[in-house]
Amino acid sequence: MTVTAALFFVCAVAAALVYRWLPAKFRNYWLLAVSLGFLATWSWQFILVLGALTLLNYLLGFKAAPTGKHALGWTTTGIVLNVLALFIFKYSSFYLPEAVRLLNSLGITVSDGLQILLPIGLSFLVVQWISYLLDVTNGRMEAQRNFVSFSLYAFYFPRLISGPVERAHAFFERLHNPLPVDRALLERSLVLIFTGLFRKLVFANPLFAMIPTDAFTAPAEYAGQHLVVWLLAYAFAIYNDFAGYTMIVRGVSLWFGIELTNNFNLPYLSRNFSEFWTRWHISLSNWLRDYIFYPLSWSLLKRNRSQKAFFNFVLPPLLTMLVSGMWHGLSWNMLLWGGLHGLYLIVERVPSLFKAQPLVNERPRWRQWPGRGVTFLFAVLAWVPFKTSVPNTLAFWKGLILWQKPDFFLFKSVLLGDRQFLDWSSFGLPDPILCLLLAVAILFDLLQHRGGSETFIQRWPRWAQVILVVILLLVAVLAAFTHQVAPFVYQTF
Amino acid sequence: MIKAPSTEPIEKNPGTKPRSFLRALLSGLVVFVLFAGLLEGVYRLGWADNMLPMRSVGNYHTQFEIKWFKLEEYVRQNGGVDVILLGNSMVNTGIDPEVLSAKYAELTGQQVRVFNFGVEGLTIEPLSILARILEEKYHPATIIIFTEMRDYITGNGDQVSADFLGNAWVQQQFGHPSLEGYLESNSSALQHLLPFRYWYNSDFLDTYLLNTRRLAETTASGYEAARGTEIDVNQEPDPTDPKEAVIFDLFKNYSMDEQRITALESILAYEEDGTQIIVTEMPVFFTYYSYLEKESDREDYLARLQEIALAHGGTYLEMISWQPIHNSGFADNHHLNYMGAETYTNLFAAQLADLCSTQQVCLASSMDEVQP
Repeated sequence: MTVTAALFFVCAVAAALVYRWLPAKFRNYWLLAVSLGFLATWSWQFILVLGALTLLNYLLGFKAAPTGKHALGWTTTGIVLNVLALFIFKYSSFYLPEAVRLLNSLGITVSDGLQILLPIGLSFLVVQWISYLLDVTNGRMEAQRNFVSFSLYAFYFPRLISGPVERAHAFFERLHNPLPVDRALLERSLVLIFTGLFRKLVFANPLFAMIPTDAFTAPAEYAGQHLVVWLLAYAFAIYNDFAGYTMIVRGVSLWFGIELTNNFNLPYLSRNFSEFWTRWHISLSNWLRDYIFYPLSWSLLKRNRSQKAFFNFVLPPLLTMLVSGMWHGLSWNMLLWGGLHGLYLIVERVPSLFKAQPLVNERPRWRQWPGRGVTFLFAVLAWVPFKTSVPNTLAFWKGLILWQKPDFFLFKSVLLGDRQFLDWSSFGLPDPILCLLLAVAILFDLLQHRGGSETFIQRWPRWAQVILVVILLLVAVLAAFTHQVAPFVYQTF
Repeated sequence: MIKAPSTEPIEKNPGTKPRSFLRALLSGLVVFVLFAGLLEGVYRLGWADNMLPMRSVGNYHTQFEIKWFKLEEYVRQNGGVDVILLGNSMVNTGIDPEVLSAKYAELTGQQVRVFNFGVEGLTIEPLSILARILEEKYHPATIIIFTEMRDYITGNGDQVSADFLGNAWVQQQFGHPSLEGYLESNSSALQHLLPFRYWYNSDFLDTYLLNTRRLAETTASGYEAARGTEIDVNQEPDPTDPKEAVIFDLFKNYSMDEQRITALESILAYEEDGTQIIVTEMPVFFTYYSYLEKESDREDYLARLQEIALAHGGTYLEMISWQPIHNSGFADNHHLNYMGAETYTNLFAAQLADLCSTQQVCLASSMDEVQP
């Protein structure tokens, strides 16, 4: 069951009502039962796999306590086991064909179609469990004794599919002390859910569908002007897809009084890449910062105290972003995507080697807007390897500059009524519906920027709010008649 | 990643008070319902038909939908339909019902209202479903079913069939109601909006323009003329050409699928209800037969087809030869263009007139005056 399905909302409302009605001591049991039920709608086998890993991490948490013997060893074991689980389930396409070939060569007949299904949300859970073990072993928190609470850290249904990545101590705090669900909170949850659905159904799904299926696999077939527009469409589609998902689940979680971490804050308005990574997939970026970047930086600084030393300067951002790439998928293109972002972070810090740089907020405005443009441009270019293989990436980048002259003469003839308007593609111009939708998606972000809050539409005039609602309903009704399912991109990670 | 999260002072707008979004949602819902009602009224009164001429019942097959609404309009204009021509694209481009009707009247003195319901890609199974829907709704006196060898090849056109039959509107016609099927069948506003349901597809604009053009080019009696005349039909199909190879493969080890024969028999069963069923084939250029593995396949097929038609009380009409039709009348080796269609339609009208005079199997006016 996906979080945009009407049934999901019906079930979530019912679950929230029962949750409010139950005595406090039974609420988390109920929440766990609902969460397991939700997971079972995907696959009951997932419950077994994730349940076993939850139990393992629960037990390891006690061993990892700094007071215990060999705490660091147990934590390391836990991290290795979690990464191993991720490798077994997530990267099976990498090793399984080889394993099948090896077994077949040994005379053991194994079907070519052997598959290991990736349990939903495993990548997100693995990083959560690793941070939990590290936090326990570093004394930032005590091991969680309540198994139901610990299970909810993994299974809590609003965040189960694709995060956000929660820190254990903050999550347990919110779980045990939920916010009072009053009118203001419900209003905020409604705005979050509505905005999330709007981003997903009105922007993300159509923008994805407007990109031809072979645009990224056969870019040489298309003119540069089309590739540019499709790349922009992909950039805004993936952003609205993930941001929309996060807003929906955060809104639903508020019905239970549990605040989940925000994941997006207008990333395409970032003024440099350091800022970009505080605005894009914030929960994972913060995790990478706290558990990879900082420890690595400190460890290198212990060897050489100069921040300008080559390894101190280059390795932390590069390795952090390579890990980020590998988390998304074990492939050369994901490594390229991560490597590019690492490179961007390094390059933008080069001026600081020569002269102390002011914080981005303190820079004059005339420098901030070009910074936004450059950051956006390079972030968008990096989406190509995120989407397609390395050879296709190179072909796509090359194709971006190989424009073909549109047939303006034909276009003019049609406009003047000299020729019949038979099709749009013969003009060689980008899809006007796509361009219009992109413009609206950009405008939506600019309005949020101007409004200063993710719930900015709450301050809009009533008539404007009503228009938004009508647009969403119209798009949703039409989409319902297409029977096309558009899963969230990050649910495959 | 490197620095702490941004503390950028974004322009705030504290002067505006947050409004209750729940009220906005409810208001939006009410406005949407009112808007839908208004749109329904406008379309039911026919005030906006010319503005958005395309209509849809949510079926993936746009040409079927064009024909469906053309027939609905035809019946509204003419008070009913006497003869429905059923088949695939060969029928769609091959017979002009107005020519057929005029010629038949000239030869027999009998006026009949004929509609061409040839739809691209439909094989005998979806055609049998379509025949049932049309028979129940319009009660034509005669259904002429144009079939061909490919209709009976196992697997051929299965996906088209599945997509066609899976449609909620089709299911609704068969008494499997659903909210979706109900709305698609009864809401005029929705029927005018549904052609836009794929507004976000990468090829939407081109597809929509193409469909609008086809709608305009399809006559009131369902005939869509093909313009192509430049293909050299004398040239034998090339088995090494990937496109042609698909058709060669189709005819390998030819046999008639029993399930598909049952579909033909279900159409013939309407004879018992008083609907006259005539089974025949569209002419193809002689090079088309190069696809066949052996000539006996064709002979066996024809013998079986005739046997089935007669066994169920239907009428079997032999296919008119390609020879009287000039080469330039073929769009390709199995589709007629507008020139070929005119020639063939006249020949077919004569064949039907002959059938009437020799076997007393005449096209008759339907007794039912149907108002859709």
